[in-house]
Amino acid sequence: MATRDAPTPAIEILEDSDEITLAELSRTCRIHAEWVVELVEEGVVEPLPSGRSQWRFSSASIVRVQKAQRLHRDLGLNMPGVALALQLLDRIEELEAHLRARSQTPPPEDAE
Amino acid sequence: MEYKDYYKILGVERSATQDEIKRAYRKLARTYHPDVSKEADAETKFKEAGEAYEVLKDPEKRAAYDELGANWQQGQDFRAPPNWDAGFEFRGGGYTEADPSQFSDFFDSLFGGARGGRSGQFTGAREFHAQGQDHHAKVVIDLQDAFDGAKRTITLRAPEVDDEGHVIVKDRTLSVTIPKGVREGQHIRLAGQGSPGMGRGKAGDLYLEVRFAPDPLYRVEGKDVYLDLPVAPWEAALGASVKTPTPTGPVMLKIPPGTTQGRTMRLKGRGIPGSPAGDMHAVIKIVLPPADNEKAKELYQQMEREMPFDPRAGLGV
Repeated sequence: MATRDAPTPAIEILEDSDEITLAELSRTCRIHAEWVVELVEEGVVEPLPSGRSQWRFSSASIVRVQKAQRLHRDLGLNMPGVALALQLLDRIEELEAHLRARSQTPPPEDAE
Repeated sequence: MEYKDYYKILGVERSATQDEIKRAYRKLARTYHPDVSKEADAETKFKEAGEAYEVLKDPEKRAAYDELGANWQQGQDFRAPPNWDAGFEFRGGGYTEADPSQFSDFFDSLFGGARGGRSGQFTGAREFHAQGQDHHAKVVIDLQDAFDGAKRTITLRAPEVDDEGHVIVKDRTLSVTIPKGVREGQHIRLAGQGSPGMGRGKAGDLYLEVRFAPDPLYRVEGKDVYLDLPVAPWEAALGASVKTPTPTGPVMLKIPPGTTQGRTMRLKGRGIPGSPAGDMHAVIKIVLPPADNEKAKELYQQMEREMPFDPRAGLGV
């Protein structure tokens, strides 16, 4: 196996506040814009509220769209299935983080 | 090389029907898909199941595989005999949407020829262009790194296609700067750092998901940081000014008199940096001095005698 070092690459933090266009989102995720439209219709991603007629998305949408793609492709989920799966996965993540963050109680001991 | 028992991987009998095989695969796929499962080996299990299904779902391949494995025994080293597939016709263009470069050496030794990716056939007479695949990886940082920023070196192993059309695995190291204020679950995109493209195709992207390693003191939820703050009973009852650690240095925290167990004191802006910054929450934990000597026991007994106190008054017993 060969090893080669790459220089420090330019990085982009995917933030909720950075905006990208529908075209940029489609291109980055390598999908048709129509598919993004379907995801919007299902509520998987939402365009940022703006007065503009053209949709703008947060750059954080990129990973969400990619996850939706993988679930669709790998598990054969249809669009409503993808939407539900993402919602439930979010909720699980939230609950797990909440559990981790709140106080750690020691395991129960038998009293009687 | 190691023989792969595809029936075992899917958890079915060798006599399983095609329906049973499909059901078994689907259950495993749902369970171990890397977006669904957090287990460390989820991706491996998912890919293994996929490879097993790829072979067993196709009656032709399944028959070929069965014939081959009939005489193999657990633990034996495996080598496919030459011309082993003589007498079986492989129809069809190869694989559905499965990505053959993801399959094991074992699979390649049986079915690789059908892929047409072997050296003789990939002479470059026909140019092949494709964009490289995106990569997803996790990068684990310490909580302190979210406050200070950090440089991390990550090593990726990625399959590449060399000039002769062979798929080889290469190791790459990258130096990534983690900026201050990064949150758990956030993604960092490094354009062009995924798999290289083929022909004139451009390279894919690399996505890193940020996760925090467990911290000895603090727990993180989103932008906020939680700390269990132990206090003595007299500090809680009478109030006190208590030196409290925070990720950005200790502070004096005022505990009001009559503080009860579990009370949470919020230190605004002392969570993960950002605009707005998160908060730190100090969760009060009243800790009892141990009654492990005569003097201590005496003091407790004195409290019992002289402080009328029924903690269970509200329980109706």
